[in-house]
Amino acid sequence: MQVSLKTSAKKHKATLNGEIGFAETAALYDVAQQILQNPKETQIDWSNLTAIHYAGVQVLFALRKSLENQGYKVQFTEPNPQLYQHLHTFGVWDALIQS
Amino acid sequence: MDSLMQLFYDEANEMVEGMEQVLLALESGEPDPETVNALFRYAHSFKGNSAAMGFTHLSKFTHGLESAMEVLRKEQRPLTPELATLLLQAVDMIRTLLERTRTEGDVGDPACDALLQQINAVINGETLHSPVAPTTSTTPNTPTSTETTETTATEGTPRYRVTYQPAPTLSTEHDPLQLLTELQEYGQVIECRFFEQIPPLEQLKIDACYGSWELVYETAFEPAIVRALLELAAEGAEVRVEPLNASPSSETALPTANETTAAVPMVSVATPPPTETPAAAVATATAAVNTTASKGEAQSIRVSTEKIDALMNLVSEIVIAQSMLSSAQTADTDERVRAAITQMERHVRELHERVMAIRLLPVSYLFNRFPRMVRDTAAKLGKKVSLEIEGEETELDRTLLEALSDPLTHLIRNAIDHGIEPPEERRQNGKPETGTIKLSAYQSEGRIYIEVSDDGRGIDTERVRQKAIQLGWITENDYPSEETLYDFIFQPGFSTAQQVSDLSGRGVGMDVVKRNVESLGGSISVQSKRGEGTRLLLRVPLTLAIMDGLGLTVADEHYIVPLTAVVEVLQYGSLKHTALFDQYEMVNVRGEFIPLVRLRQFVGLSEAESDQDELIVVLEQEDQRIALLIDGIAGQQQVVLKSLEENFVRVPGFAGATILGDGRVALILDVSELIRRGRQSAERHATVA
Repeated sequence: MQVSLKTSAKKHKATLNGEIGFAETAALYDVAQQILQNPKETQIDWSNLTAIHYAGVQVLFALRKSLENQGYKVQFTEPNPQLYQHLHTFGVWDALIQS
Repeated sequence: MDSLMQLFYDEANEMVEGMEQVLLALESGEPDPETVNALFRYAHSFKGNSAAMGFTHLSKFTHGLESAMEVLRKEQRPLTPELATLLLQAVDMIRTLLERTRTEGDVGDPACDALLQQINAVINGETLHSPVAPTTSTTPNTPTSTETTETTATEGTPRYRVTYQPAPTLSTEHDPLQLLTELQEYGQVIECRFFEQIPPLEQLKIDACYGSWELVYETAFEPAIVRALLELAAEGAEVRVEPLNASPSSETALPTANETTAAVPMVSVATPPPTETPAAAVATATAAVNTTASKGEAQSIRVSTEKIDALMNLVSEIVIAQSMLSSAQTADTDERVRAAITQMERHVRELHERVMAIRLLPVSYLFNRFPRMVRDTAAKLGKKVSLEIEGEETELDRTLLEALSDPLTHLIRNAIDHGIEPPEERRQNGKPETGTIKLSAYQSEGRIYIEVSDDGRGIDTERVRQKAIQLGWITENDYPSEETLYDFIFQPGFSTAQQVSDLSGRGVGMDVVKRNVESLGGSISVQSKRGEGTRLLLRVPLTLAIMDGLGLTVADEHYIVPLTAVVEVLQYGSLKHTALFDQYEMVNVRGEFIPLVRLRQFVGLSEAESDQDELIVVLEQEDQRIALLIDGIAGQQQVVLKSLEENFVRVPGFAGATILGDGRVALILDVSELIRRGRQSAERHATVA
């Protein structure tokens, strides 16, 4: 299971593992929708994620925007160094974290 | 990767041709610094591209060549004939290596080093009396800082500003981040800015792509290859690649924080990350796009010929279908349907014309290969020849251009070998030592005319006659007209050359030239004047694909003639008719006697009783006319030409076949052959008389 969701009273924690290709983006999107149905502060743990399709990155961006629009914060854990380098090189990491 | 490799070969071939042309231009004129620079840039780009594709031997050789050319460039040396010949040999070597990479991969040639040594020896020999500038990269100890800087600039990998708007739909195959990662395999991303336009989750479509990138990218590849890398995965991507200066500076870098206000995240891989507002970023990107567009870089794309041919075939089928639809109309057809068919005819015609235009290429594409050939052939034969080219902008169907390559090559070689006299002989005859061959192209009456003329010795018709007697084609008592004698030249086995050379004179060639030209629906004619020169005129159709035709009928058969050849249609019964020797016939059309050709006879049908309704179609080609006797007219239509040779066998007198609107096959008459038969018949009888 590449995407899993744990929900406590105060926050959601979505864990992303392995590789999220285009086919797995639908599962990530479903989890993101579940989070939005019951909006809370959310942590995205992608420390064990090795690769992600740009469609998946867009879902994370979109989730963060929707939650922030409702006043909830999204926290991203430190990603795998290789994935960080990949996202950083093309400006995606910085956009996701800073904006 | 196959597409990339194809791009590499396409560009490499263009560069080889470019190098050759520049060398020939340099050799024949005053050294122009910009032309020398162009030569250097070709070698430089070639080196980078071949290295990037893993062809190390090719890269090494072009690197050596680049170094040699750098000396030419810096020192503004004259290109001596010896050096020009060596550099042209180097171009040939590149061509050979390039061809070998297709089948053998990364291979070298022992002759490469020897050739480079020769080139360098010639250059070094010329520089003995003056301080020798270092030959850039091949000289390890570059002495001065200025030279070091220049070396860095020329050796430095080119930088580009790449604006990348991915295709709108994402898929398993289309991942913009993955494509950008692959870009890193072919160069270095110096800076990168990401413009995210991702909506909140409520509005997100998971297969839609939001966002774009702008990069400063360093690569040895040509911009087209960079574009292809990003465009290959999905259709609809917009990629602009704009060259930047080689050295990183404020001009080349993406706008810094001082120039914009912070908002949109940006990453600089090589330098600290400046930021920019979305509006400013869009403005910057737009400016970049405009700059690029104004340079024309993005105004053309490279499309495989297979795709264009497939499109052309489809248009041909549409023309046939439309013709079927038109012929299915009856008197009862609804007015609205008629109007729709008429409108469709108009659109199909325009579609055809536009697709046709895609297939057209300027004849310079073909002509540009001849200066080198003329130079080498003349040198081999010890002659002085100058080639003048006119009308190189004339456009012709790509297939025709390629098919004309061999015939033209042979005609030009013949002109040098047999036409142009040696310098001494020309001087004795009061001619300039340097002979001239003119190669010109022009369009007229829906056909393309290509002329090869020379100011050489002309055709010795008496020698041609003697040879024809020797071959048993005519007797000692026969004195055929010049036109007939010239026709002998195109017969298999005919050659008046006293010495067989490896260029011509083997009696094969001119007949093949004629056959090739005729297989294209064209014709060839000769004019010559003893001592003054020879002119060969090739006529070919503008295209092999579709033409406007006039439908003719005899008995129940339909035939087509090209509309461009039709002068007028007359009632046969209204004309005065003259018959000589029961066979040779002429009609009097307003005082002009025109040879009559009976279509029934021409196509081998039995003669019918004379019919008052019979018609005459006056056909004209190159100021020669015939009157074609037919039963009736079947109307004007666009027809799709189908080759008889490819689908059946070559049939003399017919240029091809087509499918009519009712599904029947009609043969297309070869007007040149009709005229030839009409005129030959006239000549034969005139001679006998």
